[in-house]
Amino acid sequence: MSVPIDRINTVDTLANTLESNLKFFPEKIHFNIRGKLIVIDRVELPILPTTVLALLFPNGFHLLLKHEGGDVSSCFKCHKIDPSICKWILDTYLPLFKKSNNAYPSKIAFNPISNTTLVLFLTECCNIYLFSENKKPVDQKIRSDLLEQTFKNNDVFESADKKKIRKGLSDGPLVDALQHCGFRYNDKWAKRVKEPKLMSLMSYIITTVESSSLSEEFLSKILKLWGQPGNKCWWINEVIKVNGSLINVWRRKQWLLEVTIMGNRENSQD
Amino acid sequence: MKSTKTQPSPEREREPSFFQKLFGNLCSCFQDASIDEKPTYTPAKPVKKAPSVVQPRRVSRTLRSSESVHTNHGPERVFESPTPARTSISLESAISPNGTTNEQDIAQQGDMIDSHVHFGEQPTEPIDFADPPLPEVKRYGEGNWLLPPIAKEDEGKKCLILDLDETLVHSSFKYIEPADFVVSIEIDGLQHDVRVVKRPGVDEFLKKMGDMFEIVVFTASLAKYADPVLDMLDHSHVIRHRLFREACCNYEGNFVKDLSQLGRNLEDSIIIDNSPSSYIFHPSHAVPISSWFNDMHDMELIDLIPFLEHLARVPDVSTVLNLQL
Repeated sequence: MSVPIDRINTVDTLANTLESNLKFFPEKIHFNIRGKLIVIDRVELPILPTTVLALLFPNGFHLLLKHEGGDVSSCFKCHKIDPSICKWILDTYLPLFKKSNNAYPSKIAFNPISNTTLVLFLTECCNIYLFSENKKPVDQKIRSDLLEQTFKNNDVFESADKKKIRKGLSDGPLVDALQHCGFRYNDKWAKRVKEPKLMSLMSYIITTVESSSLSEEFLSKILKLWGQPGNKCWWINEVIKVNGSLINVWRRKQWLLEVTIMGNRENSQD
Repeated sequence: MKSTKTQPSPEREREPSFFQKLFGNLCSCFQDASIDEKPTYTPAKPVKKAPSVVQPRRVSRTLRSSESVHTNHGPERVFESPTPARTSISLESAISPNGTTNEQDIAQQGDMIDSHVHFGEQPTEPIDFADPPLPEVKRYGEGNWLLPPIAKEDEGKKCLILDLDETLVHSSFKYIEPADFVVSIEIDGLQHDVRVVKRPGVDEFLKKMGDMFEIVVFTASLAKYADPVLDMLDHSHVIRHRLFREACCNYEGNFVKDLSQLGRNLEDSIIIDNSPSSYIFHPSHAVPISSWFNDMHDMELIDLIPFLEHLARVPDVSTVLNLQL
């Protein structure tokens, strides 16, 4: 079963717990993620997107204080995120912060942010529900084919010829704002996976934007999403014809967008 | 480098939680469970179809908790220990022309977080309580169902089970934004005002769903809070039944809503809940919905209507809702 991606632990609790207890955690934290061993340095935890932290630690960090995850024999078991996604985040997202100090959400009121880079982390969860014309279960092969077809349609924003499906998705101020933040209309998802044996897809993209390129007004708006992901959900309906029969395809698409501050440039360790 | 091992926590020796003890004896899901053993979920007996008995026609009304069997054991604890809940931010509201963050807004957000309360739903960890036990849930028929036989006016309809908090409404003790209504409840002899805000579209949603489904609100909150909230929310009188915390099963520290206990055909049962753990027993009968706190741009209830209209017409809802390949 696909887990709604906004059903995460309290973000503030996560952030506060993390900041105050990091030094008591194991230096290397071991995860068994769907059967794959992945090791994360504790110093990298505060940098990870909170949406990812919430999937890795759905019950908070208290077990880390008991040395859980400190070695292979006490791995944290996690089944809510694909291991290839986790590795991609470690390889793609974390390096963005390697040479910068990271600012914590709790310090938002105190850190000057006029000369920094914002990192935007966008996640999409897409569940696919099928209704057949004859009200019988849709054939397994058709289900697989439709999932594959949806998987291959890798556009972040619905393509132009589908504007009629959901005008707000392609024309609304949300899309305009995202483009203002560095997303492009023709962007493709940077990483996309099918959930195992499910009619469900998870998709991710990262973009960056210089804070100096944004107006103060817009900057203050987008910073609402700093450490506190914003969400948007759509139910999209489409009727298609397969082997002469009509199938009603419903997709529940849910977006989570999180903003992170890369850190003040003058404090970089370049 | 070898990690430093912390001292074992006394929590490792903690006894089974209050709910584990309580539901280990009371909940039918834990038949024959010993109070000294950690309960584990036992698969329910094969689901029996609810008997198709013609009932005399009666005036449609909602069964209130006051009509259930109550056992009073002194002061009641209405809520779980509050878990700070994050405010939900719509991407659209974050970037709307009128949305500007200033110091006051930041301070208010802090207050909002502190004041948002989960009314007894989904503790993140089992919590030990010394409180009196919950009221005994009323059961019906030979199957000890949670619901009475389906009313004649609802025959042929599917059953739509709705969660309450963060699905239909959000409640708070503090003034944050204008409330749609305020309910006064007594906690330990003191009166408290709970401010309730309705999720956008909830009235239209309930009205339309009431035409198509037998509606049951199933919440892990306590009745003394949820009952008055529903009294004010359900002004169209479309909610046929109400189920509260005592009707839930405790499974690994979570309140789980076991649809097989309702006395309705599973193929006709749909649950909408913001918490996946609530429907962990029946994921193929669940429609997920995001948690809602204060986002007035939210349209998810309205957007769900056409999907549910389709779902109302299929013989077995699990053929659609089962995402398994």
